[in-house]
Amino acid sequence: MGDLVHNLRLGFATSLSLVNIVLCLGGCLIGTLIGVLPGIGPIATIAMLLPITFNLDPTGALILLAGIYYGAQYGGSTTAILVNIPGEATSVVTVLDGHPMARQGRAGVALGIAAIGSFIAGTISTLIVAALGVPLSELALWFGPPEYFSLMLLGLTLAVVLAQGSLLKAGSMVLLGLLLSTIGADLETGQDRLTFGLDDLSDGIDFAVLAMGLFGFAEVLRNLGSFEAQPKVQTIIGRLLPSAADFKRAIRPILRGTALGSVLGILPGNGAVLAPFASYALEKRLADDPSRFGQGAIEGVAGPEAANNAGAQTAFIPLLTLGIPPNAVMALMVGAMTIHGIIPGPQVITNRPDLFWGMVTSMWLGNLALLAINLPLVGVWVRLLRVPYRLMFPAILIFCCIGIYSINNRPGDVLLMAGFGLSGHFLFKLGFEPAPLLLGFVLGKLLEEKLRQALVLSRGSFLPFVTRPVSCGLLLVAVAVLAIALLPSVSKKRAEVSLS
Amino acid sequence: MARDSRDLSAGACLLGIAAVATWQGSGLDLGTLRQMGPGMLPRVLAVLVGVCGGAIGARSLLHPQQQEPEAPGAARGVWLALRAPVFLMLAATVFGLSVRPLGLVVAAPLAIFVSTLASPETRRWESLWFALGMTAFCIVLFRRMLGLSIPVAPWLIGY
Repeated sequence: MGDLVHNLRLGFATSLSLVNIVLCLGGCLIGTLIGVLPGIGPIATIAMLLPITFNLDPTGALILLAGIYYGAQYGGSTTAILVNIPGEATSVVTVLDGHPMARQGRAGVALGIAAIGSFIAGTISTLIVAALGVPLSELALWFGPPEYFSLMLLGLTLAVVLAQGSLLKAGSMVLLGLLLSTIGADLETGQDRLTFGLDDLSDGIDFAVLAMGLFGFAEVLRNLGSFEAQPKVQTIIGRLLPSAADFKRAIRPILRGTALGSVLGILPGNGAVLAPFASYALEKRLADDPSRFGQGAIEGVAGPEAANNAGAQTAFIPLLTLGIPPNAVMALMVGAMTIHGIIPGPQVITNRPDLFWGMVTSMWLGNLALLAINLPLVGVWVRLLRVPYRLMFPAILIFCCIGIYSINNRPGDVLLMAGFGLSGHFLFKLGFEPAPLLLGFVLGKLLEEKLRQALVLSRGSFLPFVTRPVSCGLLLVAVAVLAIALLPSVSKKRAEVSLS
Repeated sequence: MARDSRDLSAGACLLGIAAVATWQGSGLDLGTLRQMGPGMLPRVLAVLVGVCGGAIGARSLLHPQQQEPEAPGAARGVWLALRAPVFLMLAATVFGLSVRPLGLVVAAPLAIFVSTLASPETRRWESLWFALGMTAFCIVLFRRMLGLSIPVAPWLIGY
């Protein structure tokens, strides 16, 4: 406990420096600014804004990115409530009751309770990250190659199961992602693999190029194909602060959502995606009058928003302690860290305590910033939402181009990004989802490295994967998860979810 | 597009990717399990992708009655469906080819203007002004404020 206080103090000493406060607040603001635009989720926002961190020191860069991440998340909720367009999977649930609230003239209260719920969830889950960081990174130190491999396999299995639609299609996207990650020089021999003889490809595909293509460029293509007319924005905001009665109704859902989100967020393979859905289902079941849900029930906004934010926060745990990014956003964080010469993993906590704890505390500051500046600025976000899409998408495109060019100063990357965007667009039309592909790509290099190390150690035998207890346990969980998803009743439910 | 024909093309697509990956990886040493070579994982993954593709395709032939909701905008005309991809690809290509030799002053307005052609709602004069304004904004933001080393106008001012 004393350690925790000491560590948090070290963290605040870092994050409360003037520069870092400005970065954190600025990040939240820019993140919301971009994230609020319909059709731009956190992944595209972070990928687009990655170059603005290049000239900062590593701690500042990560604090800025974390701020952008929270801002983008909150921007997504704002769009969900005001326009009825979920920016990404996790704000789908917010639409259900948030938008009806907006139509009743209670948009302000919905936005307010979302921010307050997120703040409470953020405070609690920051403490969880701080408390679990050290023990988990110690645990990670005796993780051998087989354990790492099995853990990543579990993460990929979860990503397949949590994706919408057909398991087979999600599985093939993970495999395709892994295949794409093998492009470039071989780990051991340095031989070019699958590069089509192109020099630009021998360093491998840059993660930001792929992410921006699949989530920025392809998203623009998708929106241009589907936006029939300018979406209708609810402009009556009303009061922002929820009344005492509202708050009393919302506080329990917020706490329950926080608990759900914190647990699901730690899972590898983007478990955080489940959190808002689980919270919504739970609140509906616990409610005295479930019929109010879908008609603007404040619990239906408060719980899922808290769960969403808690999950977003605890998703940092696998990244910071094991060096395994659990979802695409965290993978972008890895990209940012490597650009600054930091390899994420258990050693960060011991070698760079200022960076680790500075980032943990700035998570909390980021949440505070959302409450303190985003809410009062709601009028600005509303005005932004009314910018016509015909002007928005060229701006998005040019930001993507400049951002991607700046990462390696390579014009070829811009073309590659556009190529991935186009392929992503067609894959989407064929019913494939981009998220599992991205996770496969992210984990591919590490997965191959650990697999090869494990097989060298075991002289080509696969036995250690099942004889070492931790590795075996992780693999059993993966098999169980897959088996559950294949049960007829569950797979029917999955089909229903993807239809609605 | 009904599910069966859509899944059939999805399967064919994956099979095609698997074939290309196998062809590209054909010259690489596979190695042994004890000491894996550079070609082992690409080959295994290519085969697995191919198997998935085959399974998706085969399933669509076996269960043609299942219907999945259409992707939004799938049923539009060919021109409308191709307009956005064509002009956005063109915009990115123009940017990629011109940014090094000509700099942002040329690449950005050109790319923005070409990209606005992707939407049927575009108004000509508006996009012209917008392209110029955005370019100025980008130069100030990325070059002056953020200090990125992206060329502005190498043929005019030397950087």
